[in-house]
Amino acid sequence: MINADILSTIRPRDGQKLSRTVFSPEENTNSTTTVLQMLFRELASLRQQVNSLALSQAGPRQPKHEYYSDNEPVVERRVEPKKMRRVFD
Amino acid sequence: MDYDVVEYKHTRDGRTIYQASSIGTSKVYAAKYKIEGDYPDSIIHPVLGNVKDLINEGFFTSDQKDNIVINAIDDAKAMLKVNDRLYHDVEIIYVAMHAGAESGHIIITIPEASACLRCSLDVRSHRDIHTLHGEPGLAVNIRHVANQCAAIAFEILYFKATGRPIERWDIKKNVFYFANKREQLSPDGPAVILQEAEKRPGCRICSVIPSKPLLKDYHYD
Repeated sequence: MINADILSTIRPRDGQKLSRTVFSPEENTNSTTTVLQMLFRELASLRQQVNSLALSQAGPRQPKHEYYSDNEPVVERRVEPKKMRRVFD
Repeated sequence: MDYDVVEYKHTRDGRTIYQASSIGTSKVYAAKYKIEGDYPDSIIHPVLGNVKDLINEGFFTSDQKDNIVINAIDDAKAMLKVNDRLYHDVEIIYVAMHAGAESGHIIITIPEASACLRCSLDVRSHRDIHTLHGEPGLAVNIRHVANQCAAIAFEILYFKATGRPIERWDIKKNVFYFANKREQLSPDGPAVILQEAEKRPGCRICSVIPSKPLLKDYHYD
């Protein structure tokens, strides 16, 4: 079965093994499942390498937007009474 | 309490509770039928008359134990008369909208504890308050302020009935300013600004030595 446990088993890239499996099927069982397993393993390995590269080049993590900040001064807004003297009900 | 009759202008745009079928009926009875129809357990006692005249005739007495008064009048003389006559007797909530219904306010006066309406608006006479007639405005903005007024009134009534502390807002702050859109006071968008109005020294209405209810009686922190 090609499922999550294959993807979770992240191994180093092994292109040689993949090539051998594809072009020399006699070394391994000659089934579609095995070939696909190797492909998925390859993809998982590549994904890990890309992630590692991205993380190594990224700066410190920051939230996209700071909704509130403790450092911002609190602005006390005062409503002038004259703003409330022109009314309707 | 009102003396006016429902007209077409009161029913359009959904800005009031009056329906087209109520045109020609007195406002108080139209409101009574509408509210009692929507909420069958409610009982409305309409009073057909002008607040100014009723105060002059002694309709309100010091012995009267009204739980709360909601003032939704834009007549400056009547508003100040309600303030001058009832400030010491009962909690009053004044609710009003401003130009274009882009903002509105609610002022709460608590007998002897908070500033009176004159001090909250910093006015000396009714001429300092201007009534806007035929003002355009979205019903949703008007309803927003009206709903807040109802919530405040219920909170005060619930406190008076059960003694449960008022937690919805800081009771010391008696002026609610509702900005319904971005403006100078609310640069990020709609907002509510609460503040405490101060009693003016020498105010003949509220600058008196507290004797009856004090602010601490409301159990604010």
